Amino acid sequence: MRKFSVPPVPTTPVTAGGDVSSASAEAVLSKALDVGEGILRCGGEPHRIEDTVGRICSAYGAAHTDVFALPSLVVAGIRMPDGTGASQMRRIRSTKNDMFRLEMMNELSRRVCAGRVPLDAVDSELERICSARPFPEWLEYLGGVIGAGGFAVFFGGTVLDAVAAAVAGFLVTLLNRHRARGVNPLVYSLLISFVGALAGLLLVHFGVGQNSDMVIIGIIMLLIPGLALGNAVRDLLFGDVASGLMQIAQAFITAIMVAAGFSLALLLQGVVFP
Amino acid sequence: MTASDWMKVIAGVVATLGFSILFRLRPRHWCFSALSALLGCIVLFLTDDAFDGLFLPNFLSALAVAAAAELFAVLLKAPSTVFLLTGVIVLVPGGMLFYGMRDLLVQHDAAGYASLYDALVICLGIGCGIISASFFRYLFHRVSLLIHKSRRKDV
Repeated sequence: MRKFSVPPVPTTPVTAGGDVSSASAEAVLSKALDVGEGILRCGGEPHRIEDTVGRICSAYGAAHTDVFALPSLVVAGIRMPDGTGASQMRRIRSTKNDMFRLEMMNELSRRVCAGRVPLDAVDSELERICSARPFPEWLEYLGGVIGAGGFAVFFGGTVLDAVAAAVAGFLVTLLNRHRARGVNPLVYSLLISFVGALAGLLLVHFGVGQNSDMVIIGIIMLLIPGLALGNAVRDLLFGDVASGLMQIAQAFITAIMVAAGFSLALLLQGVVFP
Repeated sequence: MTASDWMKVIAGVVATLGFSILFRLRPRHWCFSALSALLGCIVLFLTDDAFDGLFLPNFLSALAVAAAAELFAVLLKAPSTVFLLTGVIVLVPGGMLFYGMRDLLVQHDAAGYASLYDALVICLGIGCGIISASFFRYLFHRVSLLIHKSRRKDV
């Protein structure tokens, strides 16, 4: 039987201090940015990345650190006590909400700051985090099913609407999980929303659901970047103007593509079932 | 709150559990994200009846969710984002966005823009609620630090 638990953390306490003096600025910054990049890829906020990278660099002996993070970029520079310095950047092309890995990365950075992870062990820790899974993958489909079904009822739908939304939610989760490589993510969002809405409308047409509005709203909650918009507003109010504006633009463009997909399905419904 | 409202609250909590799985939360955190969503839903329904407009109910609900998320983050030593992202999902104006889009599609422009404006107000309310909770946490942290320092001086 396959286990989906987290591989055990090494129990022997080790001190980061042992190799700090010999660690080069490039090596320290590279490891800190590996962790920062991991957090950003898992859906961490840019200000969290700035804080984490700064703390890790300090834990490994950096005298001065400057970090600047955006939703798709991390730039950092450090200076060591001996005067040597380094600056590096990371380009992040895709992110997703993975709270499990985010939490594990956070734990790793706490342990680094407590001096319990030597610099050369960071890579193996990151590998351990990347290979860990919180539960079997099929559960994610269940998440899509009850997420869409629950929201159909939350917005005023009936139990039948929830069933229709759940079926379409399964389809959307399936397509979302098996994104075709090389396809533009925005075009893919349009396709997923089109297929999801079409499935919902067909189910209602054949009597599985009663209110097509509620079924579609249930599905739309799986796709719409409303949360990204809320986060963007929060970043703006925090003073992270660049990050906030980037996220707003990103959320807005995604919302347009999702809306276009749903609109196409509604138009098709009007033509096929006038 | 009516029986129908309670039904919606339960549906919202169930949906939040679904999103907890989709966002890959640790199973031991699912109940905490559901709790924060439950709190947000109850505050939303209660304040929706008590106040006019969309900003204040959504601001207070987001504040409640964010405060719960900050509390759970401290108790469980996890990033607050873990509980915030999932707890606040019930406040996301998916319905408004859908109606706005549909109205624009059938050329009911005024109704469409009104729905999209409402969605924007809700997002602003959520953002302000989250940031207020962060500010209170910072304030609480500073005050407890000052109290701790003054006690150490006394000793």
